[in-house]
Amino acid sequence: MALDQNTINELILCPKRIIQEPSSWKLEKGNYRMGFELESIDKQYFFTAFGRYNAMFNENFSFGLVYFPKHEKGSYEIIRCNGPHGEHRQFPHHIHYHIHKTTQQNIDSGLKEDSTIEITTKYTNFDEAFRFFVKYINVIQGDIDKIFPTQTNLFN
Amino acid sequence: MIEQITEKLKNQFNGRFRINETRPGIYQLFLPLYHEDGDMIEMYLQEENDMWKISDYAMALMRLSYSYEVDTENKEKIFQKIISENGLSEDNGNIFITANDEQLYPSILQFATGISKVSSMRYFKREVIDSLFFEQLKEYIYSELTNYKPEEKVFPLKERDDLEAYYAFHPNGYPVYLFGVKDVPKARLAAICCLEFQKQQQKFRSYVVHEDFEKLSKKDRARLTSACDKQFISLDDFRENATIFLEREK
Repeated sequence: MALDQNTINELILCPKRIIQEPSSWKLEKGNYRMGFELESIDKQYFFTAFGRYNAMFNENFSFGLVYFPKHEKGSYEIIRCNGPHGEHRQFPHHIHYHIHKTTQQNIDSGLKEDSTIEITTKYTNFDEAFRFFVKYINVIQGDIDKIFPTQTNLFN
Repeated sequence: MIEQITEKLKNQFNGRFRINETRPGIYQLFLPLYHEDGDMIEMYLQEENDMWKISDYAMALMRLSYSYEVDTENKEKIFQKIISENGLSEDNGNIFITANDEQLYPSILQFATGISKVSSMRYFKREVIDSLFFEQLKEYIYSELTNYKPEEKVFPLKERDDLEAYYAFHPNGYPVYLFGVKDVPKARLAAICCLEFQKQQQKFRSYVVHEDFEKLSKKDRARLTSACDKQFISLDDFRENATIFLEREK
């Protein structure tokens, strides 16, 4: 399946519900990790989402959305919100919070699908990044309120 | 010319190198060495027992885990092989190498090469490996079985373009249809094809090559066993025995 930009945008923005709640954070080989499953509310699309942060440098974190086409093997990393873990080829000499986005141009050029980044100021720490992420990928508000209530410290 | 190139590279490497103290005594190195997604390879340097320790603090495994888990004995074995063959060490996810002053620069490059290889383990994802099954099958057929006049993508029933044999061989008067099976849908389609061809009273033989016979459920195996004439339980089995069986069709 070759994704075009309209489909990619739809995959990011379609309203989603969480069909399997997040596991608790587990430390495995130097990194904390958790994951959950989502589907679009029209049940057309299935996704997994993951969270990671490094045990030594917890500013090195990632929240990502992975799309699994129903009639094809494999998956696409559609979007990933990262902390300031290092430089990126697009912005040498600078370190930013950034978002990796899959683009049709990358796919068509044979590049890794999410090798384009956008620098962001929409979040400035782990907690804000996660809240930005679930909003950005359009998890329905009811699920956000129920599963990720705002008073919860997401690090726990 | 050599001098020009040397000068240019010296300038560019020097210009593209910087260092930042991320934690007391731990320095992050910024060198123009990148992952495929454009992120720079994470490298941290610290002094330990009069040596330099270059580490990634488990960032390579974190990155790999977005799409691929090192969660079986085999995968772990491959991971450890990459680590050791690249002269690196690993401790609870942290990949590192130690170097004295003189060896610091080559060790940094050696470290980056090893990290890139660990990151490349994502190419071992099932869907990538799976696609090799059909390529390997085709390669074998067109290198070793050309005597049996292989034909690719054959539709024995003119009115049914949904019933396709992957290959047809012609060892004698009637064709031998071959189906590659690497998963349940392909197993079921192969069974349907064989039954439909039989229903039309076609004269043919049907062979199935499995990627892994054991992977199928008991019911799917029973269906195929009942519908087709010969099954090869793996590509290796096919490579070893295809000629013997095709000879018997003569």
